Amino acid sequence: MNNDRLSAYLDGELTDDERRQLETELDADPQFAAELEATASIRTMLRDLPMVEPTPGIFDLPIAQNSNVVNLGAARKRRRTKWAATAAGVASMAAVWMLILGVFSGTSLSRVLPAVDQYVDRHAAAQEIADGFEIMEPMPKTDMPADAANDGTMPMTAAFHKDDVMHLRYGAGDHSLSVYSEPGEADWDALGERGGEMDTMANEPAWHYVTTDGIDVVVIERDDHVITMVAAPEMHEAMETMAADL
Amino acid sequence: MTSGDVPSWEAVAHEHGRFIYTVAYRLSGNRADADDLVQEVMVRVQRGLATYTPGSMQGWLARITTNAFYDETRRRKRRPTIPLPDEPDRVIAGSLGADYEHAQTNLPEHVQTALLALPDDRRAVVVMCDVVGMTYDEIAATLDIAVGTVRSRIHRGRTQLRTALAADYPERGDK
Repeated sequence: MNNDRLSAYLDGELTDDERRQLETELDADPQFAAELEATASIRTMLRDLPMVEPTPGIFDLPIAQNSNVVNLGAARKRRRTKWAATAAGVASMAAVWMLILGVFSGTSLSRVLPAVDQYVDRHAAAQEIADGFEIMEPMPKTDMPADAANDGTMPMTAAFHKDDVMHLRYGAGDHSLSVYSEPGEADWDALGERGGEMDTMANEPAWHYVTTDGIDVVVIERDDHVITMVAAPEMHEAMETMAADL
Repeated sequence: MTSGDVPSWEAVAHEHGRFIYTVAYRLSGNRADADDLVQEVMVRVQRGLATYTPGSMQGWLARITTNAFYDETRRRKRRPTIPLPDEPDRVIAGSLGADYEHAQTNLPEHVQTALLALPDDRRAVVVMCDVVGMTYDEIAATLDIAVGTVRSRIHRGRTQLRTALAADYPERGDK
């Protein structure tokens, strides 16, 4: 017997014909009628649940008005304890990241297969206004401390965007690291089909791939975004630092 | 506010803050997670207000809250996190105290506990239907699932609650 009609009946979601049919069955079957009554009781109990008073102050200053910098929730803050520890070194990077996350509209996530080849080409050729990418202006300031490179972080040297894909380029001396961000969740299966291997970075899933030219590519997920990092192998530590800080 | 006006964020928080928080709490099951969920909802609401078309504000807020809940659920499934031992903000932020918590939540505690025991997909539709008051069509559109699936999940959710609560509320449980 299709008993989900009972809930639909109580919610007024049956057609007239369905309702009449169900009422006939209820009249003929006391046990079925008792089940309706029990379902109705639970429904009433749920609907009688009281409103819950918000945590005091939670609506006071949640968002920096007229700004893209938001106060992410406590859970995110907990996951980002390293931000606090190295705040001086990565503060500007954090601001950039908030800007990127701000682009996301908050709808359901789509599965994303990063354009790995294009990202590698852009990085290797130091391409700027190409492939439809445009310079992001104003480029956020990067006031990195003098010893920033010692902990694997680097100043950002350029920022680009194409639709909802962001490309940030970091550099120090002859070394550079490209970070691409796009909203969605990674299509791990499709990435796996093109080679590489699933690994972990900063204790979270990461897809690692090395191109025939020896360029490292790492794909991770952060805050409903797919992050693709591209750099020479010696920059792996910088990638790990980036992954841990995001 | 006249008809057709887009409300300010402050007006939404003032008029619908309790509603947002209640939906978040019923979905997430505890204050810490509800606080986090509300934070995420607030970010999305502020951004969404720019393109908000005046209509059912509570329906719109419920959709945002449920989508944020689903996104967080998916994220946790993909990347289970290990809670840190020191969480001072969890204690300080609300400053509510055990008595306040008890007074606020003890009466429906059994129902909330049973609700939390439901699978996420069932809990979401039950909350949307019985806490928010959305129709099956609205729920189906919000979650991008068939109306028949909504109907099935709601009834299975209620049936599971009935079984779980039977011991505490025999007069309302299985008969």
